[in-house]
Amino acid sequence: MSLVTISPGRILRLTCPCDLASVRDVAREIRSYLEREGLNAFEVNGWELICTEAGNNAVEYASGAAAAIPVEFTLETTSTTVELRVIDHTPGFELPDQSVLPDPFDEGGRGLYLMRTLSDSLKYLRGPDENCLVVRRQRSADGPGESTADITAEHAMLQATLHTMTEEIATSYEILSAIFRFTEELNQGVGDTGFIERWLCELAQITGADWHILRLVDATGRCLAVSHTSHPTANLDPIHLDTLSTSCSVEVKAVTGHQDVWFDAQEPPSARDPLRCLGPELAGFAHPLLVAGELVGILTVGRHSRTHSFNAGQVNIIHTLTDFLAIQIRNAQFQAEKLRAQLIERDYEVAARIQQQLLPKIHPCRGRWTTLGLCESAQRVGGDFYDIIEVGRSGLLLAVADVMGKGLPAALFATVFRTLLHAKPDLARVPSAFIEWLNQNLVAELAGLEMIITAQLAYVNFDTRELRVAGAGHPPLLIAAADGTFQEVLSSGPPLGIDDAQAFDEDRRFLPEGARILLYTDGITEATDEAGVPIGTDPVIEILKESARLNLNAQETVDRFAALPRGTTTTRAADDRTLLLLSEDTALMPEACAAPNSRTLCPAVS
Amino acid sequence: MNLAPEATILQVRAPDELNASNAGPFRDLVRNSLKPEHQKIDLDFSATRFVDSSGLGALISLHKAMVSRSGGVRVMNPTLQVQQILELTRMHRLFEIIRA
Repeated sequence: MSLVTISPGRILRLTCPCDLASVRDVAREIRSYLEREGLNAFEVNGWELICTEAGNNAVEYASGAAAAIPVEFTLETTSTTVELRVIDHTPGFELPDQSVLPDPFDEGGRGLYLMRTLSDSLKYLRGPDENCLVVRRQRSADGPGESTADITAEHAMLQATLHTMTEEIATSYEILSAIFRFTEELNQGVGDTGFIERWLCELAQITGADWHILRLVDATGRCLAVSHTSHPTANLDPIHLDTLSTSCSVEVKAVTGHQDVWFDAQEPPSARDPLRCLGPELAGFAHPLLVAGELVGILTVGRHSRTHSFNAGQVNIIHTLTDFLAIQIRNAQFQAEKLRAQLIERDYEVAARIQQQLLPKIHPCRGRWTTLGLCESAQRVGGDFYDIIEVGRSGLLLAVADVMGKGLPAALFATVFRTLLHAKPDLARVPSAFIEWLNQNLVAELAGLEMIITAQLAYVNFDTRELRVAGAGHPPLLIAAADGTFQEVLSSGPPLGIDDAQAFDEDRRFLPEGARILLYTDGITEATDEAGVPIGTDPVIEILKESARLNLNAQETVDRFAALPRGTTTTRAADDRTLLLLSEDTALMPEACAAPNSRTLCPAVS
Repeated sequence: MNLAPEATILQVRAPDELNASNAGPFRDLVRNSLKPEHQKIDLDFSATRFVDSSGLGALISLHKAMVSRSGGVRVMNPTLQVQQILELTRMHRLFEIIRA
C-alpha cells in the first residue's frame, strides 16, 4: 500500500496491490483517517465496510494482466460529505437500479446491498480500461470540529457501547423477571389457559408485538391446533403434520425447517397464507417451539407494519421466553402422560387380579388322579386360559385355550370363553359338540375383531378310563404311560372364530396305566432358549415321559415344565404359556383312596 | 482459532477479522472439525472486530451445514460493529445471537 497524497483539502489517495489482504490494509488506514477527521463510530464502521466491499470487488473480478495493476482508492472529505472513489481494472458490471437482500440461505450477493445501504449515493462509471465506483454519504449533522475529533469519536463509540449494554441489561432483566413471574404461576399448572394468555400478553408488552398466534401439537401428535391468538375470529385451520406439503405458509415452512421464518413487505406471506387474514401489512416471524428436537408448537408474532420488525434484543426475548414456555408445556405433557400411565397400570393390575381369580382355585382329584395347572402371562394380563369342570361323580372336563395376541383384548376374550364354558355343562361329556357350540357363540365377535382362539377340550371318565378329545387349531394333547408308551392326540378342526358352521371331530382313547395327560398352549414349545431357538415339543415330551416312568407327582412334574426356558426375557415369558396336567399316581392302591371325589387345593403358578 | 468441542456443540473462537481473505479457510477449518454428534456451532465473536459480506457467507454456509443436522449456528457475544452488520443484513433472524 502506498499513500500518495493527503492534501490540505482533505483528499486521501491510496493504492494497493490487487489482493484481498492489501484491501483490508487500505480499509483500516481509511478508518483511522476518518476517525481523525472526527466521524462518529457508526460512520467510521460503515466506511470501513464500504471500502472493503468495493476493494474486494476490484480484486475478485480482476483477471489476467489486470490482476497485476494496483487498485486505487481516493477519499475526499468536506465538512458535510465523504466521497470514496475506487478504480478497478475489471471487465466491470452493470449496476442495478436497486439492491435487495438475497435469500437468507444464499452465501453471496450482499456486498452491493451493504454499500448501498450504508451510503447516500452509489455510481459505477465504466471505461475501456478501468472503471470507477463512486460512493458518497453525508456526514452526521452533529459531526465534531477538527480540534476535538478524536475525543468526540471516542465519545460516540462509548455512547454507542453504553446504549447497547443498557439495552442488553434491560433485555436480560425483562427476561429474568418474566421467567420468575411465570415460574411462580407454574404451581397452578400450564394447563391453565390463563397462564399462557398472561405469558403472551407479557411477551407482547416487552417486545412491542401487535399480534400473535400460538399453535400447540395436540394429543394425537399429528396436528398443530391454534391454542391462543390475538385474533380469535380469524380463520386459522389446524396444520396437519402428517400431510405437510411444500406449502407456501410461513408457519409450515418454520415447522418443516425447524427454523425461524421471517416476513415483511419485502418478503410477504404468500397470497394463500392464512396469516394474510390478520391484516394487509405484516412484519414478524414464526418460531418453532422445540424441546430436545421434538416439536411442541409454533409461535408467530409480528407487527402491523411494512418494515418495522424486531431487533436482535427483541428476538432474543422472544426466543428465550418461548423456549421457556415450550419446556413448561412439555413438562406438563410428561406429567399428564405419567399420570395416564399410572392409571392404565392400575387398571391392568386390577385386570390381572381378576384374571387370576378366574383360574381354578381348586384342582380336583379322583382317587389316584390329580390335576394341576400353570398359567403365565407375557404381559400383565394374557389370552391364555385353562379350566377344570367336574362332570358328575366320575368325570372331569379339562379345557385349555389361547386367544390370538396378548394384553387386554386377549384377556377379555379369555374371560368370555370361560363364561361360555361354564354356561353349558350338559355338553361337557361330548367335547366335539361343546367346541362346536363355543365356536358358534364366539365367531361373530372374534371375526369382527379379526381374532381367533385355539382351544382343546378333553373329557375324562375315571370309571371307564375313557378319554374324549376335541381340538380347535390347538397343539396336540400328549399322553405318556408308565410303561414308556406315548401318544399324541391332534386337533380335529381349525381355530374358533373362522366359520360358524365348522364341525369338529372327536378322538376317543383309553387311559393307560400311570398315564400323564398334558394340554398346553404354544407358548410352552415356542419359548426360545438362550440361543434364541424355540425349544419345541421334545423337552416337553421328555418331561412327561419321565414323570410317567418315575411316577413323579403332579407338583414335581409341573415344576419341571415351569423350569423350561421362558423366552427372551428373564422376568416374563415372551408369549403367554399355559399347561394343564392330569396324572395318575401308581403308588397309590385304589382301595387306599378313601375319598374318591376329594379335592386338593393347588394354587396355579403365575 | 481455538476449537473446544463438547458433546453436541462445537465451540469455535472466531478470528479478529472475518473477511474475504480468510472466510473460506475459516469455513473449511470449522467444517473439518465437525463430528457426527455435533448439532450446533457456537461461534465466539467477542474478539472479532470486523466481518464483511464474505465472512457472512462463511457463517451462512456453516449454518446450512448444521440445519441439515437439525441444528444451527449461534453467534456468541458479537461486538457492536459485528452486530450492526448482522442486523443490517438481517442475519440476526437466521442466527441465534447469545450474550453471556
